[in-house]
Amino acid sequence: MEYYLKVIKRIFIYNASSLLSFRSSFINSLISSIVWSVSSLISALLLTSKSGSVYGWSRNELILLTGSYTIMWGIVNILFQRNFQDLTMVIDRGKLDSTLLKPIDSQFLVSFKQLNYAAFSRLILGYIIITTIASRVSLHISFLNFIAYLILILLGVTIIYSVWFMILTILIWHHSLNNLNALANNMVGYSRYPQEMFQKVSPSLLVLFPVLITSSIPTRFLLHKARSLELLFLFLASTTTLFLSRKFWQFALRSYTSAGG
Amino acid sequence: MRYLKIFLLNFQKVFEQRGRSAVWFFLTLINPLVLLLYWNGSNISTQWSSASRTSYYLLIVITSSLLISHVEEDVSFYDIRQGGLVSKLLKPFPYYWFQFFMEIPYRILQGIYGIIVLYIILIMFPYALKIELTPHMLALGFITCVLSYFMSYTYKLILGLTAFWIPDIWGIYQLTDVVFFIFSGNIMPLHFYPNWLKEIALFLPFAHIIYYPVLIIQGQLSLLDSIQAISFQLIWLAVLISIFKIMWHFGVRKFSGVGQ
Repeated sequence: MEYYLKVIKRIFIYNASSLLSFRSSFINSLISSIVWSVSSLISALLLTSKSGSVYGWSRNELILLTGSYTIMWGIVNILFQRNFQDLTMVIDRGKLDSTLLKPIDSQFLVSFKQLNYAAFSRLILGYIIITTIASRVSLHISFLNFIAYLILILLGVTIIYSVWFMILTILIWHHSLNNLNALANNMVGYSRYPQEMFQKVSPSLLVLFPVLITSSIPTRFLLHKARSLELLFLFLASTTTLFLSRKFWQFALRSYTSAGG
Repeated sequence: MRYLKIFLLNFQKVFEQRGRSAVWFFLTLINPLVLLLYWNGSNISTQWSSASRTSYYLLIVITSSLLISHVEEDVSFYDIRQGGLVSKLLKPFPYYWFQFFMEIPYRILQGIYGIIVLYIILIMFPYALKIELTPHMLALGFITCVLSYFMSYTYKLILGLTAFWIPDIWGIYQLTDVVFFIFSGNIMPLHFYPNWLKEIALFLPFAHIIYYPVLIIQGQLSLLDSIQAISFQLIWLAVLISIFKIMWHFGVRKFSGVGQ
């Protein structure tokens, strides 16, 4: 445990020094993050501009959902996204060997070695959206409620990480499918829509693709509408998908051949 | 003849990697259907009927699969970042046309997927697609689709070339994806937007890649409006090609053979 804490510390320091060495890259990423966040808000406003409610969600509630999605997506961006982009290249080029030979868990290393500090701007914008809507609808959020909300967001992030990682693990067998990253990216994007939308197609969709509930349930919790069963389901989904991602990765590594598969 | 050879060789490669094309098609299929599902749960029916919505998004699926190029990743990662551009620079073909004939097979395969899916949907829901096309509008529809594809291809090529200068390409791609999503008519028809945003959207090239071709194919534009839309496509295509040429001229000078 102490070893991994030291590694995490080095990862933070390494990425911070990389940020300072490549300042123009950081500024470019920061601008992209901010403009992306604002564009997401604009698309949410457009989606809610022509109707008073969608699947029982009012306009303010849908924008609150966008705020939750922005925070969650910000965390995913900070921690994982660059690593997942690299993973497609690493597996395609057969360069996973150097990672596998290191005296550290390979899933940990491929998932966390790069951080994107610029994506903190998404967290800030998500927070602004939530506090603005909360004050507009006189929604009182206590400190404890907010902490609980963040825990639910982190459970959602765990689900997203696990599902995304499992999708990318398929690359070990089919390394030409490097657009699976775009597929996973899009799938996460569907969590910005109300879960009732997918429930209407089939309730089992939410069980098969738990990514779809990762923004809805924390938002419903903030609105004091979340049921205990939903919270339990979110917790179970996060632990189950994390466990499955781990097992799937270990299973896949047995099939890895270093010459690009 | 040599371009035909490039096309045929790449078609063979694309057909071998039909799984990759299937993933791209799946994305272009699911995104509009999710939006259709979203609108079905709203009370927008008074302004936008269910039949019109279904027809609109089905056409978005077909036009997106046929007309949206995905060449930017190959250009930015494999050619520029990994140094694969070296071999292409040594070939006696302009890079623009070389990549074009390499990209066309993907569009053909995706178009085939789109037609198969559309056929299945029309068997299950015969009245899902509402098109009112006359012969001359059919011709205009074809012209607009060809121009739309060239616009999409050139635009994505420009995006890929940003890798000459910008290391964090994925940030740029995420950003441009959202901007394209908003301004191409994917969310909803642009005439539903607030006036100020509608004016911006109709001016930008993205509307001329998806929105106007869909309207022309649906038969919702008059002959004069269609010709005007095509004129704007030609102007935007000229602008995009100019931007490409400038970026290529300066980018290649910056390029080092071991990648960026």
